[in-house]
Amino acid sequence: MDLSDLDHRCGEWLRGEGTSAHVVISSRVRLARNLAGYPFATRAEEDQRGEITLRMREELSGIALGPRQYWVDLAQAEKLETRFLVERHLISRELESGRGPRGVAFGSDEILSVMINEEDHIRIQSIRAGLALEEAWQRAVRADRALEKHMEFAASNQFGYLTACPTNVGTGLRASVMLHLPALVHLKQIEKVFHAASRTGLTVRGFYGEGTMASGDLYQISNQITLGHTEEEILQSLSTMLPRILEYEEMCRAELASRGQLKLEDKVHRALAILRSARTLTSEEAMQYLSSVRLGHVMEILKDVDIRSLNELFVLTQPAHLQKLEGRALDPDERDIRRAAFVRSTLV
Amino acid sequence: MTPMLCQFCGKNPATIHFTEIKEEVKRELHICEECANEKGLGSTGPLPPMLFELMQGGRRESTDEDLKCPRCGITFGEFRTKGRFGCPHDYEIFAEPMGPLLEKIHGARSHTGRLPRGRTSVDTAVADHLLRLRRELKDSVRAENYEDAARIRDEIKSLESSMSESAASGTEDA
Ligand SMILES: [Zn+2]
Ligand SMILES: [Zn+2]
Repeated sequence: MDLSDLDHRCGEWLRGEGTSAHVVISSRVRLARNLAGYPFATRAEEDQRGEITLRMREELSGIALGPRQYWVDLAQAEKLETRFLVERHLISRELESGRGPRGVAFGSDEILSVMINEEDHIRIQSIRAGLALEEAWQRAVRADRALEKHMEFAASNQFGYLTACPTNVGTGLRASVMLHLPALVHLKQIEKVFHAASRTGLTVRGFYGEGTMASGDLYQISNQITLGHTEEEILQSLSTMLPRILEYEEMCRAELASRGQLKLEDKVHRALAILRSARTLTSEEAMQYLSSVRLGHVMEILKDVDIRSLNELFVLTQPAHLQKLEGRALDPDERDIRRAAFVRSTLV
Repeated sequence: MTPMLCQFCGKNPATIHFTEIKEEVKRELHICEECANEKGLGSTGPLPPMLFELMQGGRRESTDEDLKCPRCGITFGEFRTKGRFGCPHDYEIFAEPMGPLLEKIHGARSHTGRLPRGRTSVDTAVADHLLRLRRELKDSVRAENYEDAARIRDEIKSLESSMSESAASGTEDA
């Protein structure tokens, strides 16, 4: 499968628009489903997983996932290609590191993707820009219903949709929002958000999900509970909590400005200057300065930065993206040089 | 419904039922009158605290850890170690010991959201039959019993096509 169309641009969810885009990068909904009559993917025989992959590839070609659509056979794909898909949030790290028959189908606008044979047979994911949980939910559920017409999902009256892990059972729904919270981090208030979130049954993770470090001051907040609440209630629990986090971040941004506008402007302009002139940039440095520039943009300190390009850089400067663009494997030093050059050419 | 059998002798129907809740885990013991008398347990007498330990030592297969799914072969103990179930049937087989765990994770034990195709109930009989056939297929291939394997394959095929037909018609109803 040729993914080179995707090298230079990103999914529409990074376009930097939509409701509350000054804090909310994107909204995501994921549905876990399993085929009735099969063991779960983690216990199925290799030939059973092969059967499921083949069947799902065919079924998915019959439903529209986007303007055009891709299928990537992950058992055949090269390591660089699967890493690339992880960096783009099209597949999970679990699917990347999995073994045997498995794959992913996604639309060219990268709004919808369907992973096959991760921990569950089917994982439908929808990502939208800004605060748009309802839209993301609608897109995911439409795909879910389209698939339902052709297959029977494992479900029971008591436990709802049955999943390999009991933490997903019931609705199989994981809803999350990706937030940019630089002021809360800077004023060391982010821990309070974690605590408040966990008290309301939500969890906080880094940019690349479970177990990853938050970099670029980017955080994902998602529901923890999937059983005993309706889908609407779960989406509502996130929507209720979010305005409070947004307000808190806004308050901290105002606080930063009032404490010393000059200091803030200095930090933001320095970050942009480094990104525009550095000859080598580590991944961590890039994320950190991109975060400052993004803050500068939304606080209207910087006026000539394109928000979409900026958002996309968070993804396009990741290791596999740089290597794919270069068409070969690069060692870390080479990557830092390529990263700096790419950022310079983007932020002219 | 078939009556529950005595967990000691495994022959007589159990008429005496004990429940113990320890460290949030509920354990049940079902025994027949004969065995109860033999162990010195009257139907109204107090339950010696040793009884459950006795059960574990004697007939281990009757404790939660050794509870086994006949479809995929996973035991509850294995599930506890891995944190992943083996097949959809496990939710039925392990419903009892799983309860406290679901309570801990979700604060609930039952689903209130959507079901497939807007149905108000799910019939798992056909899916369950399929799971059993796939298990039998695996066993017969392993035993190099290819005649059986071919027959089971045909059966799976016809069952599957009836299942996708019902899936399609279910959508029209919804
Ligand atoms: Zn007995
Ligand atoms: Zn099972």
